[in-house]
Amino acid sequence: MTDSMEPMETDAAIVRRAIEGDERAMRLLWNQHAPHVDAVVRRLAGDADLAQDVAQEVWIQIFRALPSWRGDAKFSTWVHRVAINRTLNALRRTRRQALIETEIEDDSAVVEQDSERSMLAQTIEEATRKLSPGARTVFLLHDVEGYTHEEIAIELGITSGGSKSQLFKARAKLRRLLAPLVDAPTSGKSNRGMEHRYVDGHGEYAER
Amino acid sequence: MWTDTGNMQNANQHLDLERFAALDHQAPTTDELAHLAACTVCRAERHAYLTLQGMAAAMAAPSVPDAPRLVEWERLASGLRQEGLLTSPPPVPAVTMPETFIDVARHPQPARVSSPGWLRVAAALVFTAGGALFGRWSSGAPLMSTAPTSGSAVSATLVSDRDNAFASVQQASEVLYRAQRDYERASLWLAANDTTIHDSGVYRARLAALDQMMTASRAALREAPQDPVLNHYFLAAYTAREATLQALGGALPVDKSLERY
Repeated sequence: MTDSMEPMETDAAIVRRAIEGDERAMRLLWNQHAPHVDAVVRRLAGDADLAQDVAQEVWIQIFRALPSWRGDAKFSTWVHRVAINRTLNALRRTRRQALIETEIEDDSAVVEQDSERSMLAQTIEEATRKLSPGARTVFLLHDVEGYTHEEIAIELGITSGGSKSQLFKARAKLRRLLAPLVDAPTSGKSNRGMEHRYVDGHGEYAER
Repeated sequence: MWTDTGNMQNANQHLDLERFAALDHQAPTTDELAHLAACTVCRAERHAYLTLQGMAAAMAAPSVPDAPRLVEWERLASGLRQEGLLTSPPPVPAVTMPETFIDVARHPQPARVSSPGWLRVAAALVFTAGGALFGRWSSGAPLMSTAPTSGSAVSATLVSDRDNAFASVQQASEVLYRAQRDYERASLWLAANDTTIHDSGVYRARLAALDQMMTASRAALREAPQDPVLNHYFLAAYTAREATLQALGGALPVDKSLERY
């Protein structure tokens, strides 16, 4: 790549050659975008083995979809979107996300204090793995990838209201799992001593 | 939904937990704002959710370029060919490498040399390491007893050989392959039979140097796995390392065995 070439021109030229089956061009695209695409696959799969299982399929799907890139978006943005879409498709096909459209189980949002403490996570990545597949996917798409609920609804075949519901429940659970990380340190009276607990099945809480 | 807790300073009702999770979707009402202004617990709770959302956004940060790839190009290219997306035929290596060497190259230990520097390293290998390796190896040995002990001597030999034309790529490849096998055989034979006494420190220094060569050539092979020159350098370093390990084992006192160097 020379400095005088615009990135879009360069991408367009490489993509054209890749569409024609030019291995060098395809490998160049893979080299340039693999770190980012791999990160997307890892994040959505949430499991290293599963990520490796679907990565090959995702990349083949990306190359298959190359002709649909019109150049009206940055190629990297397009690849990112396609990677997400194809990863979700691949995950569905593995049937490991069979519960993608199911609601979070009622008891998953109401966690007893003792068991919740034992589930506290050290990182947000670890915490997201404790969510149900559906809630996890919605959370990642909305809060990490920046999808709208309408886009999520289309992507996952659910309603936008269902997407919102799962997002809020996911956030609430993550907030509790990550309490040591997200609770603000306070001077004087500690908020941590004023622990919240659910008092009924409808999400109400009280201090104790 | 509101809950009467009975012990707040200015208000008796906290926001519902899931309401905090939805505040970025539905702005707080006047009552909720008033409560948030007065209630330290709910303010802290809201802060916790904002922190959580910040952590989530940070997950989308650019990935680490050096992270291990989820799929190797060779495997992906094979899949792309099966799908008809990659039309060029798979490159045929000029030399059929022994499987063990290919395995070592493709499933390496973690590399210590990053790929951007491999060209420089490979160039250095071409002009110096080959001569140094051959020269040091052959010092005092009958195979190269006329003592090409410097890189320039080896280079001169290579230059004169270059004048000999080959009839075909296949013929040149066969010659290369034979030379490679001969080199491998000679190295291992020397390791087993060279009675020249060396201090084990010489072998250890050589092993350290060979490890650096292998690391560099391995990194280069990741970028150009079919390149015959790089394959030969990797193979040469690998063979020499094996032979040196063997020789080092022989150089040790009989009551000591080689576990590490």
